[in-house]
Amino acid sequence: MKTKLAGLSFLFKDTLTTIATVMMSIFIGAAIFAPWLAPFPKEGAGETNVDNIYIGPGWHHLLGTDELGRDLLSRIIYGARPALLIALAVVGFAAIIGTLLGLIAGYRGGWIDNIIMRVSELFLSFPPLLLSLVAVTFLGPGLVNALIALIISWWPWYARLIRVEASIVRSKPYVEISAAMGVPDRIIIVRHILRNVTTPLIVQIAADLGTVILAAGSLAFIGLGAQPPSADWGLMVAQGRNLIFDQWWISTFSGLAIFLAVLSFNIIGDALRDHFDPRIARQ
Amino acid sequence: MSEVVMQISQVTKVFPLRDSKVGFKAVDSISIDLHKGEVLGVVGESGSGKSTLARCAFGITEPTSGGTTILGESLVGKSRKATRELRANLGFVFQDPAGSINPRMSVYDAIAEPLMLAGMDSASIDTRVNFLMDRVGLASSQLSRKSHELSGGQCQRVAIARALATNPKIVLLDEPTSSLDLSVQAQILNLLEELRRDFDLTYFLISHNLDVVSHLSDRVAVMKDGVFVEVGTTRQVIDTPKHPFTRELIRVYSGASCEFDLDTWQDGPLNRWAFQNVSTFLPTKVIAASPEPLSLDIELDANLDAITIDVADSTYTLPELLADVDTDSIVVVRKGVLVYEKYFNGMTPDSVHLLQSVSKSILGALYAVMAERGVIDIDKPIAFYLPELVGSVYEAATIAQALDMTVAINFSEDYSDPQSEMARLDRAAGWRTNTTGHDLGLRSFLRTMTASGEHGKAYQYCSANTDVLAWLISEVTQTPYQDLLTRYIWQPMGAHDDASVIVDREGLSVGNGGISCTTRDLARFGLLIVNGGRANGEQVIPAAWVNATFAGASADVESADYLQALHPGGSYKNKWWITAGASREIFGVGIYGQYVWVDPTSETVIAKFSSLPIPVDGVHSRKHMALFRAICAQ
Amino acid sequence: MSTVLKISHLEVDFEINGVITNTPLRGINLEIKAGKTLGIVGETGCGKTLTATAIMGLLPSSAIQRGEIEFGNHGDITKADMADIRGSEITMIFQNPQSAFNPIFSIGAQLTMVAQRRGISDIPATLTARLESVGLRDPKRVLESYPHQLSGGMLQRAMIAMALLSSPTLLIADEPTTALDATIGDHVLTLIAALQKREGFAMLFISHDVTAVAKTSDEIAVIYAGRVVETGPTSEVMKSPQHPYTQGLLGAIPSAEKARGTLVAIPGNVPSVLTNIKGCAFADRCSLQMDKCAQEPPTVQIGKQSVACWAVNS
Repeated sequence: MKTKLAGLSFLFKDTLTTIATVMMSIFIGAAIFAPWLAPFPKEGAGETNVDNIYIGPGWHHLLGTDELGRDLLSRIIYGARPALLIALAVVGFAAIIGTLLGLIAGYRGGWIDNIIMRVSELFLSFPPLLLSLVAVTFLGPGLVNALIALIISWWPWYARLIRVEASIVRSKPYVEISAAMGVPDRIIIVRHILRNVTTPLIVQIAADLGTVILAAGSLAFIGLGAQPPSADWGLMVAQGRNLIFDQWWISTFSGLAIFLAVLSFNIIGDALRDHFDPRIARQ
Repeated sequence: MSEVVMQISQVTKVFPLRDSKVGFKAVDSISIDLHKGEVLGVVGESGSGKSTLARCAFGITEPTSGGTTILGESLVGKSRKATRELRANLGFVFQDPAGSINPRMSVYDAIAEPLMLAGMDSASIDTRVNFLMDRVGLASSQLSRKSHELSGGQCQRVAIARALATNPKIVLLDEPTSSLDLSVQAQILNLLEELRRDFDLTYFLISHNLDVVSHLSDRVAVMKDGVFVEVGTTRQVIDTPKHPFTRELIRVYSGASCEFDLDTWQDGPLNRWAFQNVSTFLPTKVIAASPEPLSLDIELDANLDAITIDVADSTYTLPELLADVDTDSIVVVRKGVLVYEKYFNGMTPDSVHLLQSVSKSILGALYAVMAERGVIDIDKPIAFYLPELVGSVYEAATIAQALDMTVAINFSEDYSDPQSEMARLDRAAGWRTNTTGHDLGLRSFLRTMTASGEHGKAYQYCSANTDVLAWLISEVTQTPYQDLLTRYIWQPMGAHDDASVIVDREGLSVGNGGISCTTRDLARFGLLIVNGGRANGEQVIPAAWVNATFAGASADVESADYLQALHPGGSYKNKWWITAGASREIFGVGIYGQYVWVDPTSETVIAKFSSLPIPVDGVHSRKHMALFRAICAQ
Repeated sequence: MSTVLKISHLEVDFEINGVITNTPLRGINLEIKAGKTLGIVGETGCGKTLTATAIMGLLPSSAIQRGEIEFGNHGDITKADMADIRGSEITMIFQNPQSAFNPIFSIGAQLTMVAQRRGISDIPATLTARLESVGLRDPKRVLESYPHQLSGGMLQRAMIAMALLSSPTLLIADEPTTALDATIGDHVLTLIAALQKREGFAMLFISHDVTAVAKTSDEIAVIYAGRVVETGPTSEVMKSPQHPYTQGLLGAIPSAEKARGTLVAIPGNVPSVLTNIKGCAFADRCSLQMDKCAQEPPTVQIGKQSVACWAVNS
């Protein structure tokens, strides 16, 4: 256990990474413990308080209140939940689908590789957000549909990444030797190939979490993602945007939440890559 | 001999090529048997196909045709289980030690993998892994390590332990020590030999390193361009190599000095490199290619490889005989169509090669043009044009006599005697180190030549006679020799590539043997002769001269014994050799095996370069005559 | 015969954040005579290439260098602004010719740049003659080509041409044949030997391949863990090696003549550069190890050979 903890020291290797790690911990903590952390849990969950609308940041409401009088800090803390959920779900599903297809394509090669790669190229030929938009248009707005839309546009990246890695590992002598000894394909794929593509996979996942939060926020911002009254950062930025000159805090603070979450995920993604990539690690 | 454990039969592997329907044949129907307990070593350079052969033989890659049987059973067409059981008889050790072990697996897991696959229980696996670790000389404390924590040698020991896990009968060793340092390589080679003895293993060893292969193997197969050029016991192959490539490999690995020596570059083995690279150590001038080269139709005649040639109590196939006479390249043009073309010893269609005295025959053709144009009168004495030679042998000798080698001159053409006039000529030309400080430059050397009798009576081969003619013609025309060749021979005949000619320290061309050109261009020159002096519809050299040359020397000229021994009734005329055989072939020949052979009867031209170890001898000459006649008879 | 290069007590430390992490060169003494070839032979990580890097003045900034590198009559070129000598009077060829050329410029452009720096007049004629002299038959095409359009052997020749453009006094060849097939490598060695004969430059030939070094060198220096353990005329060292490591190295060369399984296998591995070496670096792999080996052995002269070993000394 001690070695495992020591293995996480890369998350604190420099000031920037340490700050990002702390931010990410706060963010994850906020998502899990929202009801206890939010100063006004009920408002955070959506209860309106029309007496308190548009109160600027101050001692009582640290970040002010929104157009329905809800405490903005509480709303932002609650907003971490859908953000984290959507990030994990999209990246998780996309990674599973993509890895599976990528492994098959990379290890087997030939026609099956061709089919998988042509299909993934079809998806990749659209800008990701546009593809999600089209999907949501068909499926209808809503958090779950946004999630499905994002998975559709995200899995091909994983399929391509894993295919390249798998085809590199496939030509390694230890894989050839195992195959020549008669080790069945599925065992080779799991024991030799999958185990040697996990590093780029983890790095990619870490880097993607932030990007997905941003994409989900964008969908919500244009009204195709999470719907009111749910506490969603993108939605909150959208609702505050007409009031940006008078009630600046609504859009600003919820936007800042997105910004900081995405930034800390990306910094940690970089740290993971530096840690795992043996080429860099060796120096 | 002990039982056959692996039988490789007619294995061929063709890789598809982007721009070719035929594809690239990496392995060309190779068959060989492995006997129990033996080590078969395959040595070859990159691209020879040795690794592909091993992969096909051991079922890692599917061969295009042919296959392997292991202990009498075929590797293909079996159930999964049966295949796996058959494959348990095979072990594999590859070059890249670190890459041979999954970086995420411990040493224990790597060695245990084949045992688990074989269905062994975990207690037995434990015992077996520890036993193997001990046998390959690793401590059991290493078992939990991963590949990056091990040295290259240790990784290779783990790879060997894994290869031996299931008690295989046959082990493929593909460059097992190539990425290891010398001292570690020795450890691994000793270990492999010890294990082979103790476990009665059969090794199929692949390596580019002749030292490694010959050290470990009972039998050696030398592989080049997808075929075995030589197979035999290690002693046979090392002590009496048949193929020039084998000889070359042995020489390279023998540690023979690469010291370049201006006094020995014409002899083997240095000539194998030097004849293709004279411009790197001697000054040369360019003989320029034609802007509109004569195109050669190519229609390769596959039958030629199958012809057999009887010479000196032996029968050879054409490829065997070509190998036997250290051929560097050969081009055969029959009735204007290129029907045969082979390159060896690093040569390609673009490579140039020194012609040696075939250069003389080109000078002969130039003189035909010059005489016809009235630039010179060949019956005039040489000193008529070069007054500085008054007082030397060339005061009285005529150009025609120099062309026909009937100048009576005190000159020994002994290539092996460093005191001979020939050696002095080489020193004067800059072809040898000038130790004495005398004879600097061809001109001053030629001035010292004296007469030995009456000219025009007897044939006497003398290289200096050609050098004096190269000097004469450039003096008369006030044009460098290389430019005359460019203008009157090389471009009109449609040369595809630039040729070059060696010059002495004063910039005078070495006419007796200094030209280098491509094999195809030499064949084009032969074509010019066989076509009666015509090329591209133009009369390049006068037909009368060509006919006169075919007719040979006048019967009045006394011939020489060595000429009659090889070519009864033959003679020398206009810098060409005439055979007086039934087909009335004529040819140009240079020392160490350079030829242009013109057979008017079958309208065949053969251009051939070699790098024989010695300048001239009857055995090699006879082999060449037999080779040319057999080709022309087709 | 005059000395072209004399290296005395060359030591190199690597320092990171003020802490010396390792000392890969622990005392290199070499001498190269005009027109002659000195071969350095050694296994991976013994400091062969680092020695060349130090001569060329290309050590990274984290390296601390001691000792002297005297070049001809220029004196110590580690001091003062002697940068011009490197690259003109001392030039280098590498194992991988690809690394010597920039892939985005033609060979001609790159050779021209070098020629301009060296102040060569009539550049086109010089380049053509140079390329022809290394056996490149079609200089015009070579000059127009980009590195990827030439074969490995042609690129190798072009690199040699580039190194010889300034008619150097000393050519450093770092594993020039390692990446080539044996027969092609032999051709390259013959080419270099022919050029050396013609132009008279001295050469420092670096290789792990004892056979290649023996073929090309007049003198040989065996280097182990950053120190020269034996030097002498090549024929002498090959015939009667004195240092136990040299003996082991020569005994480790396999051949058809040696009985199988009886190669001299020096136990263990070359010490890592990170090891802090006290005394003789070879001691713990050496069959002749004795108490004295805990101290650095002095170099003694035995016949024409210089050997750093206590066992030979006593």
